[in-house]
Amino acid sequence: MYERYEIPIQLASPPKEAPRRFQVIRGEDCIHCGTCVTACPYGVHLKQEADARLMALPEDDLCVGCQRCVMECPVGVLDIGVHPDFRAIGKGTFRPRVVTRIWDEAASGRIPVSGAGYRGPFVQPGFDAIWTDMSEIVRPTRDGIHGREYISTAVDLGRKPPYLTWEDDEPFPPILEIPVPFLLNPPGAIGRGLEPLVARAAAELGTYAILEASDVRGENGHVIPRFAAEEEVDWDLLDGARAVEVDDAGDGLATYHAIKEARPDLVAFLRMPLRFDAREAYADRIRAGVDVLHLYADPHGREIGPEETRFIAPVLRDLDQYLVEEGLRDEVTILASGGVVASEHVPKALLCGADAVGLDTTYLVALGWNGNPEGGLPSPIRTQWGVQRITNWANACRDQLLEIMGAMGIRDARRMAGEIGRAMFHEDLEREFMALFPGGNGHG
Amino acid sequence: MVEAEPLRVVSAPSYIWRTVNKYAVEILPDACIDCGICAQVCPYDVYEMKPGLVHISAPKSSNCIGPHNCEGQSFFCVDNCPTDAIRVGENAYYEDLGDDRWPADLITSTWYMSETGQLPPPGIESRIGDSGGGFDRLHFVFPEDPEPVEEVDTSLDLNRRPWGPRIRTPIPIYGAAMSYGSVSLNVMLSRIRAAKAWGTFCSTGEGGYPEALIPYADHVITQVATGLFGVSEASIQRAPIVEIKYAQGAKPGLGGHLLADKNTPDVARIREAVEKTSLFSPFPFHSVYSVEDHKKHVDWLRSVNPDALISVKVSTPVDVDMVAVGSYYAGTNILNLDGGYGGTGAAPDIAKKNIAMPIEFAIPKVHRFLEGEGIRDEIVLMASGGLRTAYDVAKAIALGADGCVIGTAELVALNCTRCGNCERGRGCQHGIATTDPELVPLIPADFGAQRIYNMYHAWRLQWVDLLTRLGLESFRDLRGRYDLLRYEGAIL
Repeated sequence: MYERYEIPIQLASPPKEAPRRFQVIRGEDCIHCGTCVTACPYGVHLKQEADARLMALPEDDLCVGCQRCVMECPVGVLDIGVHPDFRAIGKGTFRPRVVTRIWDEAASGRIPVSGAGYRGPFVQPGFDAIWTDMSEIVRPTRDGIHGREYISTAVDLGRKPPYLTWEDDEPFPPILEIPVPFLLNPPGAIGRGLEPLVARAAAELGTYAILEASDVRGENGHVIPRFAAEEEVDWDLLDGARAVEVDDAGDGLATYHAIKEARPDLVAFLRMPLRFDAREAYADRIRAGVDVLHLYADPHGREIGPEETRFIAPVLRDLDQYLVEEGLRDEVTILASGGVVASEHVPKALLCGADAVGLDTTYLVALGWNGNPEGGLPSPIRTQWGVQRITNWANACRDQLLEIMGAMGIRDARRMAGEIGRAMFHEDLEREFMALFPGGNGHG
Repeated sequence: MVEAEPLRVVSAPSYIWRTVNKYAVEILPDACIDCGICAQVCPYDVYEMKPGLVHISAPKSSNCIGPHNCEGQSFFCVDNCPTDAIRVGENAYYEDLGDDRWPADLITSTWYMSETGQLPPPGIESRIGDSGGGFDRLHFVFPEDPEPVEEVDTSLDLNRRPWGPRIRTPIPIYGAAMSYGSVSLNVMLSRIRAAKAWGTFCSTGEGGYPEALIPYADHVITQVATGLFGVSEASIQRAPIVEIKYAQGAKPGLGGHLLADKNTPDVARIREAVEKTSLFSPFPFHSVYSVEDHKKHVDWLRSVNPDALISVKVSTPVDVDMVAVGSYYAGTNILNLDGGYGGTGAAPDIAKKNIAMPIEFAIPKVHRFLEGEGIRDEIVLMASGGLRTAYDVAKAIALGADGCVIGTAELVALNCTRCGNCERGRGCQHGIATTDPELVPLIPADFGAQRIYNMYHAWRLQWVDLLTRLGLESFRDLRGRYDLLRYEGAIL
């Protein structure tokens, strides 16, 4: 029977010590008149409980930064500034607004909505340098969001034969359908010990968690064990599994084929570092029958390699183009990971050529990490809270994916992969723009 | 309702509040002897000795140009004070006001212009923001020896078709769509009165046409959007310009959303909807699935009001140039391109940056494509979505637009601090983006109208100065003049 895919969301408040956005400063010359108490409807300014003649310290975690108390203070002793803790949140990929947005999504499970227009820089490196398309006139995909017509966010992982055969000795290759176009990667060093929690979150979402084979405990239909290249395959771990991942390094490809041979029912992922220079190696592996290529970039989305590296988005785009030219793209599933962090990164990575993405740092942020390499996770993390934070984030992410797809008039996430024509790269737009001016390149 | 008097520049300080200032001027009360020397020396009117009073008034920090601009000058108050009673310093939290697109300087300079109708004191940037791209990295190249200009014409023609009414506005802008419900009636009245005083227009947005606007009907653009809230034959027939909204730049392809708290009984009545429910404006128009349907739409409005100009508001997708051509052939007079960085009462954060291209890239794309099709001079191209200043307007025109549509700047003129809480019911603590009966009176309509009028007065001073320095007589001569611009490239 048809079942509508829904992610159960529930409020999961952030840990108490979460940094605040604003600090409210009350100068020494305060006359305790209480004007700010009536000016602020958010309850930042209150009188002291013990002595109502005096003002209490401002509750700056409630402040929204509207400045009305500052403007109304008769003696001008109030100031609102950005809280130093907010500024201390990570940089680059994990800049404060990215991190705090993930926290909000993980708390409520809903799409962050606000008034006023866009407030940030014109463009930033990475996924921020891409705009997605929209259609002025489309069939009513948008209504799918309100329930009248369905937009599917499901994607398939596995090998896709270019045509069907009716020979008995060629069974249809296994396919893994996931309801959202993302999987959860292993938590890495910062999240050591969170593996069972991540596996549960994946099960809750109906997607899969890739975990190092040595971390896989007990039965869980939503775990994909990963074997390092030299690791001996523990066949017991594959009981009940539907997919497996093997690292390509060293002799990995032999292991990969050995597993495929023994367990043709498994969808097998081959994990390789993302590097455009390696495209011929990718093509060879696809020709050799690899189901899923898991291409990983570094946590900031840079290619892996000693020389100059590019960002994952243009690399995926160029790789997609290359595989199309080689006539190979449609046969293989590309799973991309590294640098895919915020909700808007997911549709953008798909448009650049990924069929699905692997997430890791995102859920660490959802669990409270502030994106700083020195920062850690709050401890202890209760499993139920942690799972709820991850599923909340996933729901907000999926809802935003629906918004982006609705605006484009795309009803099926499977159709997103490699739709380069529906993405605008800053690089391309700026090149065209620059050419307008007689000075040409006006850098500097 | 009594018609407002035609406005002229009158000082309109925000009389309830102090503002957030770049510099902090303090007079130490114990040291000050009220000699009044500071009031005599300061050329920026920071100090005032009111006639008949013996004490110096509280210093007006918003006029101060800062100690680093004043030090060493003969009029530096601190040096002139005989009792060393004056302290002038930076406001340590000033930079925390605003954001990259609207940094503190743009906000306070807009406040200053709205209060005085004049350009802000030196040292406060009123032309560009800090976003590191687009308009903020685009600069005019002034000729060394410009053609002398006798009189500068800042007007804009809103109909370039060979048929239909001729409408010309004295300034190259009109007011953007803001619905009743997203903003208060006082704010709508403020905007429309200022528009009338300037001989331009202001759009109702899609929240219907409140009766209080009827006396200003000649200056009201009414909007027909996907929700069709409050759209009636009468309102269309009353309007000199009817705007069809396909998409909004701040949330392209997402429709609109008025949260339940702001949907008061009166808002619901005007919108012909149920009060205290969230109102969704769907995406897209369910009567328009093709460009032929679009023509049907334009024809429908034209048959209801044959005297109206038809404006079409679209976002900036990949094929925005094709959209423009399609719209031209459907018979529209005005094409309003709404770029992604514009304002909104409520929108998903993801939509504000990630969907559809910035207006800077879209304008030349459309302008040149229409030129190539040989139809550029029959359609009016209006740009909106992230145009904050008089200079942004001029740059948009130099990129190929005929004029611009201004929204957020008018709200900043009304004291908006860009805190971004407009979507909450009682969110706007400045009484702008709210329908809460306690907050709405914070912006009386005559005060608001004066502030917006003053801002455009200051903008016009900047436009006249700019065109003169470029040696151009009108904005018509500036359109598409890429040779007068220099682009530095975005900071990545």
